[in-house]
Amino acid sequence: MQMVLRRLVGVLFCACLAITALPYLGFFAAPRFIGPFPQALAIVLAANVVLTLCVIALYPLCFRPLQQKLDSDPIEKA
Amino acid sequence: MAALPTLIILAGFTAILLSIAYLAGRQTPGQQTAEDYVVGGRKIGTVVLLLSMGATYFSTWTLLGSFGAYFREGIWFAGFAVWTIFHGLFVWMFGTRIWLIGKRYGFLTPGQMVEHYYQSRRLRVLVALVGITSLVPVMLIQVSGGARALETLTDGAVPYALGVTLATLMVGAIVLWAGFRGTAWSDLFLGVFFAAIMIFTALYVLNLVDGLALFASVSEINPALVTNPGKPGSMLELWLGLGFGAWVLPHMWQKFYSAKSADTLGKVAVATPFWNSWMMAIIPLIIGLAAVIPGVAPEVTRETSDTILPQIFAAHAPILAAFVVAGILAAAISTINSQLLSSASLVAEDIWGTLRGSPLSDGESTRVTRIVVAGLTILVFVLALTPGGAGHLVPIASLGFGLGLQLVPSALGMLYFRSITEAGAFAGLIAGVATLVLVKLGGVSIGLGGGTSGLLVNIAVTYGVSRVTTPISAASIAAYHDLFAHYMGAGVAKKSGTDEMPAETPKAV
Repeated sequence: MQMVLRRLVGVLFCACLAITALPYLGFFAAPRFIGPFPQALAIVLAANVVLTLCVIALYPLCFRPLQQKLDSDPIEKA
Repeated sequence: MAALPTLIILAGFTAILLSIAYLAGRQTPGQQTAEDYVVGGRKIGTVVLLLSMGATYFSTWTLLGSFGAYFREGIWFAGFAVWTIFHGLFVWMFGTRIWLIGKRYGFLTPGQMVEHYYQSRRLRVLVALVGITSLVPVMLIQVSGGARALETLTDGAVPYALGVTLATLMVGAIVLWAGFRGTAWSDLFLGVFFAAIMIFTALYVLNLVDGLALFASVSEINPALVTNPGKPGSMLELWLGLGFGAWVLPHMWQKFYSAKSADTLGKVAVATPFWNSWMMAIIPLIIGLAAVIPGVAPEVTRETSDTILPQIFAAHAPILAAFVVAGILAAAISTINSQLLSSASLVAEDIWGTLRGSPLSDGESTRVTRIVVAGLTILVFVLALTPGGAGHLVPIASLGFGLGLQLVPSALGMLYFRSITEAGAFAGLIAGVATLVLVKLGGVSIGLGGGTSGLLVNIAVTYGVSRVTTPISAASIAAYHDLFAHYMGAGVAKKSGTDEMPAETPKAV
């Protein structure tokens, strides 16, 4: 289950990165506004929010299991 | 700007900073081991590590240059914010692996890991030389650039020579006395100081421009600033440099060694997007674009756009302008101190220790690192005061992030790709650096920026040479990749392999 969630977060992360690249490739570059934000900026900011949530998800999905593993099997100095 | 208040605030700022460094390094210098001095005894907690990484990574360029970039380029520059989010992801992808290996083998520098994994002294020395070349000129530019900004902003009340003296004296004293712990704790203070200036300014200008109506107002004045003109090549260069530079440059690499635990790194990763992206990349967007609106920064032009922040203060709250001056000093010092300590440890451990043929003892390592810190501080001070001294290094300093990028393939060999051989990593690094120099200094162009061109050539050569040369030893694979699989993989438990050490191991500190 944890691996599935990790992969899901990974896919979401890559998707957001791809979306962010779109205005740099000529998509959504028109001078339109979405709410108070220019369209191209709104896309980058929205992707940034999702990317931030993805990074937050790293803690329970990756770091906590690693710490638990280290607690049960401490890394020894060679 | 009034000279007396500026000097009083600078004096107060200096006193607080030196007091923090003094308290951080109160442990008698004689009792400090090399591990204490260079990587804080691997006991640095979440808050200090987060702010130290943030304050180190963001330099005077953030406090001055990024505002100007938004002013000139508009929302195009917002892509910068996305790759600073990656810094959090990179803590997991690279930072935890670096930390695990650093903890197991007691490494202090990236070069020690390189020699241990690749069983190669020549690669260790080359990695150290590239690391130092990417850091030292940048340190000098920070000192000279910061001092020049101080002189301009204070109308000569803080002359260039005084600015250089202040910056180098403070950095030298902090690093010499307290080592990593002193730089980390002073970074915490410096980071909070210049973050407070940025948040205060952002709230102030948002109030001036009717909040988020800012973008509509900018659109009426200069519509080009709220559209994205593309230029994907330039953004790619920025992304790669800013993204990978956050973990592969030696002074950032050593921050990972210093973490107290994996849990500490996890908390740092979670907080990183808020500090690196939303604070350091999005706040400059607000301030830089607001400066386009008449009345916010009345004197600013395209040419003077790197002085937006002080100009806003000069126009609206001259009494607080001295804090901006101290903020610029804070941004410079918080970057230089880690670079100075890192450069000195590379010279001591990777260059001196390797060339003399036997590893340094613990006491020798600390002593030599301290001597090099003093030497580099004096060198930077003298060069910054030499007419044109800093100027000659500007082209090299501009290579900084690009040079750092060239370390990526050899680092990825240790952390991910076991197929990368010593010969491949060595040849790739040389080819990458040569390409970067040809593009940046020789005017040769292959249609991409110097850093990206160098990286592509580097990857191609690393891959090609690795295919036909001796693979990495089974002992190194076991010591690194099996260890990662054991702790970070999906149920692969082969820790027994980690007990097989490469035959020639560098000293475990």
